[in-house]
Amino acid sequence: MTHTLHRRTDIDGEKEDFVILCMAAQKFNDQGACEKLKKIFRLVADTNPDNLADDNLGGRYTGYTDEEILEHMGDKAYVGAAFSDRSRLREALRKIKEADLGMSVVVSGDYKAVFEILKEIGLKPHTVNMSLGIFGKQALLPRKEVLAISTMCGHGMVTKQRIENVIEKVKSGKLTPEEGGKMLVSTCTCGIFNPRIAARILQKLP
Amino acid sequence: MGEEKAGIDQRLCAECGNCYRVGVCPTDAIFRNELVWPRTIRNIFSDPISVFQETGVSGRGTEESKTNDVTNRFKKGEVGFTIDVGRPNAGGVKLREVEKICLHLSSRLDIHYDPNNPLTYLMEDPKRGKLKEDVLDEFVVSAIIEFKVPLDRCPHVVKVLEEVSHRIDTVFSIGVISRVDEDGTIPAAKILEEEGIQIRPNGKTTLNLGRA
Repeated sequence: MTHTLHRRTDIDGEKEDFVILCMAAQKFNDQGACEKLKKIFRLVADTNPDNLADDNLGGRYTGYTDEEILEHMGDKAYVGAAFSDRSRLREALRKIKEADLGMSVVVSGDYKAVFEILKEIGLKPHTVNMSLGIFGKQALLPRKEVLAISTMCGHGMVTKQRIENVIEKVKSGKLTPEEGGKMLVSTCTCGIFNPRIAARILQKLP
Repeated sequence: MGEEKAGIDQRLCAECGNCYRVGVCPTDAIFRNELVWPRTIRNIFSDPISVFQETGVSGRGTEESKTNDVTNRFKKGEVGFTIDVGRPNAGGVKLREVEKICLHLSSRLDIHYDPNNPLTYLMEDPKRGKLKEDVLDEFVVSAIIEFKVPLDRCPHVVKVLEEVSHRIDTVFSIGVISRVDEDGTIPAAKILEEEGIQIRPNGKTTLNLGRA
């Protein structure tokens, strides 16, 4: 799955939007991966990410505490975390590197920026999946402000109708941008939707 | 609404489970019907916490390059493609539209679809990219076409995808997977840029941390 690859949150020129995914490779090193992934979850939690989840269950914004998520985690867990600045991302990666647990780690975001961060902390990129963008019937797409928010949940669980509804509520003063961001993140189970970035985009709406 | 009852349009429900999971109904009136073939496909392709039993992977695709540091699925000299059909936000897509893309790809290229991808399981003729007849009208949030080709074929694949993009009633997003050289060079990026194909800044970078 490629649910973190095609994000379009940079409509206002802000490019700080990163996601970490950690997992075992099924049938290669998944036996006993649970405890390693739990350790990674705790290390990442200590860096104050904007969102954090195991996408087999859900996350902090879908009604679960960190302890409940940890309790549910198994060998197939997918740890997902969202960051809106590179300093916390760098810290999380540094901790994961030092723990040296042998799990696969993926960082989504501007890949040139990610390569720089990796170099700073002595890590190397192994493989990269690059986005070539959207093709086909573009008329089906929502307006760019909505797309900027919706693409943070690549699974399509934050729908354009729901985003338009929240935009209306923010514009009419019924919700603050921060409340709007938290409302929208509640349907993303993977921990990759960033409510702080959503609030930023809602704040700057024309 | 008064005394009237509201219902979910079953033709347009992709069985993603979102409304059920989030509890949007104040009286808990939403429930999930027992799913039977071929409607079960909707859930596999649309619900992010649904697990495809054959691979043990949640979601509609595979691990693709995420665990490549361990699996070595994509070797040097190879390029992977991930074609996310219906993504982003096309409002759902029928598998008939996905098939149009697969048929066109297979008519122009020697494609070997990823055997671990749920979509490949639905093909009655993977050589032609032909899906089983009884799944074509199934409606899903999105589906991913996955395959790999030799590095030098990479720009040609993009051109073939551009051709079919004008014949479909949906959208798709393209991802191109490449190994990274020791000096940080990305061979696929170099060859795509030489052909004038634009690459977005977004990438999904697998680090060199995993081990079997």
